[in-house]
Amino acid sequence: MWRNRKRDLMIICGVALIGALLPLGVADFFRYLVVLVSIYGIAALGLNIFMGYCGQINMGSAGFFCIGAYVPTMLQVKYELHYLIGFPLAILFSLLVAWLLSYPLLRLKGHAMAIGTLSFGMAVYLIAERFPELTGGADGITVPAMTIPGVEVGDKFYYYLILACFLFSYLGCYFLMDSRIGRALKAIRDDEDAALALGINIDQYKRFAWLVNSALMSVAGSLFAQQAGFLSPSTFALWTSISVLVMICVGGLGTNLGSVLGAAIMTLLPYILVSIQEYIMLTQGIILFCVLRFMPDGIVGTLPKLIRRNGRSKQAVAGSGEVAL
Amino acid sequence: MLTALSLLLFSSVTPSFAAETINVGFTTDFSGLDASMAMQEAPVVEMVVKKINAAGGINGRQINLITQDNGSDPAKVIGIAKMFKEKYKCKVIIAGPTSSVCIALKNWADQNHVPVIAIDPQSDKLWVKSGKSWFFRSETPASPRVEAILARLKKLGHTKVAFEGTTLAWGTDTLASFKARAPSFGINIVSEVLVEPKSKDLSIQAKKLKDSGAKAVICVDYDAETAGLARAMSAIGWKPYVIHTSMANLTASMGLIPTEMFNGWEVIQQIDPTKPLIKQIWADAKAYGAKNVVEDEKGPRAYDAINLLVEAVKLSGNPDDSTAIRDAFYKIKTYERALGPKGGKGGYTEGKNHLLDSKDLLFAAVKAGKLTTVK
Amino acid sequence: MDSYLSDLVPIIIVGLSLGSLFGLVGLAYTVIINATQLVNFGQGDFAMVGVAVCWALIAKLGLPLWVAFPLAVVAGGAMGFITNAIIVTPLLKKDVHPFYPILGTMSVGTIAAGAVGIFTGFYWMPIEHFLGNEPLKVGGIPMDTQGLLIIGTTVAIVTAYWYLLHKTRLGLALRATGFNREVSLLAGIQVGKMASLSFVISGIIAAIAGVLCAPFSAFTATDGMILGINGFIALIVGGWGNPYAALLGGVLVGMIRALIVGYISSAHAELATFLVLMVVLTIKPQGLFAGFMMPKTMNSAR
Repeated sequence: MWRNRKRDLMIICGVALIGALLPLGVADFFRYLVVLVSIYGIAALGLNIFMGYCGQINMGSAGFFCIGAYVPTMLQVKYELHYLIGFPLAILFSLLVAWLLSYPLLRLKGHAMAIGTLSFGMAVYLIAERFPELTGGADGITVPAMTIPGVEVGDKFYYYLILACFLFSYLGCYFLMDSRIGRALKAIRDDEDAALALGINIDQYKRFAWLVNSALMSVAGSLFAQQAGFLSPSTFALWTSISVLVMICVGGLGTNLGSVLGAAIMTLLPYILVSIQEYIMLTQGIILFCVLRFMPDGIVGTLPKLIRRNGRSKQAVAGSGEVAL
Repeated sequence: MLTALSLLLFSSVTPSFAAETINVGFTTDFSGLDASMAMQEAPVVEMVVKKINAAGGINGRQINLITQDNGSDPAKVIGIAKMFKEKYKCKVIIAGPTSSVCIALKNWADQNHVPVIAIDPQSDKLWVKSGKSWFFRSETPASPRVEAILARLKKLGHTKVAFEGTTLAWGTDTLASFKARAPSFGINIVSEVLVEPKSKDLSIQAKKLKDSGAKAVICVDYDAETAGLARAMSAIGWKPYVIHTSMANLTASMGLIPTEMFNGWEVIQQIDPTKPLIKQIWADAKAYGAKNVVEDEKGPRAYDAINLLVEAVKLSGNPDDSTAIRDAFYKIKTYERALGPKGGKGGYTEGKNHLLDSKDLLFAAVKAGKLTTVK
Repeated sequence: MDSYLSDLVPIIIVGLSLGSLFGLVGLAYTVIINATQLVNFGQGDFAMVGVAVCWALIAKLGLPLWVAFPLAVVAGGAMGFITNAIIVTPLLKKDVHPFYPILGTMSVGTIAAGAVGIFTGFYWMPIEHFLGNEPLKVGGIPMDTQGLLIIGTTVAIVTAYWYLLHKTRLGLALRATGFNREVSLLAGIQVGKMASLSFVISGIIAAIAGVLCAPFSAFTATDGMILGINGFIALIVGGWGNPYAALLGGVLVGMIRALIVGYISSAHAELATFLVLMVVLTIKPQGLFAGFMMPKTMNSAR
């Protein structure tokens, strides 16, 4: 019932249309939330390919987020390079870093990969914080507003730019995971030895997933820098890596829809829980705990099961555990 | 699923306040590096608001304080400010300690024309030196502090001085400021040591400072590291003249290790503890149930920030007009300040979006485990 | 020569005491790894809970240190037991991403940090030096008594644990559980109990590490995490699943930090730690001292 490409694409187009028309009628703050969710959605989609589909661990994704944010900003501040040129350069730089790192890091397994990626993320954060001549230091730096032939573009331009990037990322991930590559990644996740026996080049596919992860993180970072208008290293500390990780777990590991839903929920949560700010850390811990303990398949994995259990005959349940969207 | 999500979203942007309240946004660091400081200041802000509301509010309108954690993250604070402005229709915002957060907030305030008053960021980058500002603070910026310290060092006859500071912006910015001004006071900075947050043992650093031949040390560091430095210096039996730039941090670090290790230290003090108002604020905060009330300037500077905000709203004549509130920050004349020397009154003047000058700063010395104001 | 020596000695002392602290936390990880091959990301928060309990008993109830310390250690053990019971075991029974139990331990750690934070207002939880504030002077060079205490305690605990692991039947059962769960079950080892026991021991060691460290550098509710990460780095640099390797790894990391602070710049010791880790992961992913003091049998148990 879920594997229906035509219907999925129609839903995606519908969301795109709503998104495109939205700025006409709603407040700036609402638009801002949509933008924020889209940015973290892109980041979550990237991490999901590496963790959810390929079954690896990345605790340093904020490192690429940071590179994506700082490279175009500093190029613009120091060399007056236009943001739209810096943006692809940041992706290329992230890919280069990721490619170099892939040789030591992707050989590792489990915990070692966790701490290896974590130390990459921490190293990037510390470099951003401790080398003010490179990044403006811990005080942060103002991101110059983007101009298109001389005219400063407004919030609406960013909105459409970010929404377009999000939709492209989503569609990209959607088709990618339905393709041969996606199936190979899932095979690696499910059983590495079996995948090897099937003739899948594990190293290459892992590297591919890692590069896609870094590229999407970098895209999210670049967009983030523009919409925030201000960058400071503390945005890219360890907690950011972890929160993106929590997003994909909450939504449902290994589903694109889950990643985006998780990003939406975790991003909006602080704005919904206005009255209990002193307890924010405790709340985040409890949410993570409850998701892991009581619905380890995340929202996307758990809700359909509940709906089916209540509404349909048991026959329909069998064999349709997978969510494609 | 998507409908549920959009419902969730829409519900989160529906205005949820009674029409007659005055909404004030309050964002501070309930999590993040400065959480311990924010946790002591937030209750004072709440306390003042409650007191004003109990006395009938501002022209009969109650103040509604909307509190939001920013986790010391400047990117987050922009979203929070947007929420204050658009969802809650706040016309004025009060903010917490972190400099980088406040720099981001100041940029936002300049663009969105909502006045912001911050409690304790020290960065010089927040100083608006000409015209009217959208950003105010109760804390004194770094450079008047630096000048006051250099003048004090000169007066005491110290010419060879060492610098110890945090690797974070507070330390590096203050160091740059010292280096720029020291020569004009005839003072030589002979050694500079930057210490990472959460450094556990500072004996190596203390020895470096000692070996440089310095007779005095300037300390710009957070609580635990200041305590670490004091312990390390007392372990190697080195007792130079040490001056700390922040009373709030020094008093906190005095709670961590035996206070006699700080004997002979001095610190810049923005309050005059003999003022009855200061003692009243500390007593009120304790009675209000605030945790860990330390008798230092944290309470008074939070008190001044929220009260100046209230005064500005009162004087603006129209609490729904943020420009009028901004202008009113410059019209406050009679408000008796908690910070600064006795008789200090009023708010801000054009070109100065903080309260105290270097001549208003006092010094306190640690004597027998207690801070005593230096005459 | 004399000034050279007087420069180097403090660096060695700081490096050793910091290193043993990291090694002790690394050992706390190792205990769980030996029995379950899992990494407990809440380890630093276990240490923080120990500090919080010790501080609360001394500062709030006025108990002496020698009463508060054992109770804090018990609290650490209880944290370990609870973590295993409420999240790790239930998750291991399900077919989930291998990272989920690890993330589960982290969620418990975050809850603990958040709860202690509310209780303390994220304020400091200071504990005084155990042996007084006067430094011990050896040849005119002052040494921090707490640092020396950490070094001594760590060596003792590591040795005791090594003995337990390699010379007792219980240790054999613990190692067997970590080596192969199914076979251990067949051999009649109570696998569940072994896992639970390892979490308790690990919590105890973490709490000892935390309380020993707190007089050295005060804790707030959120400071567990960074101690935990440093301990984990010690473990990875040293070697997976070997208590002595974790200690050596910790000492190596501590010494590198102290040398950088002493001779290069105290602003970049943290960055250097992460870079060292990445270099070790590149050249010797199994750790630098993986085979140290390990009996020939089963030392390849990874």
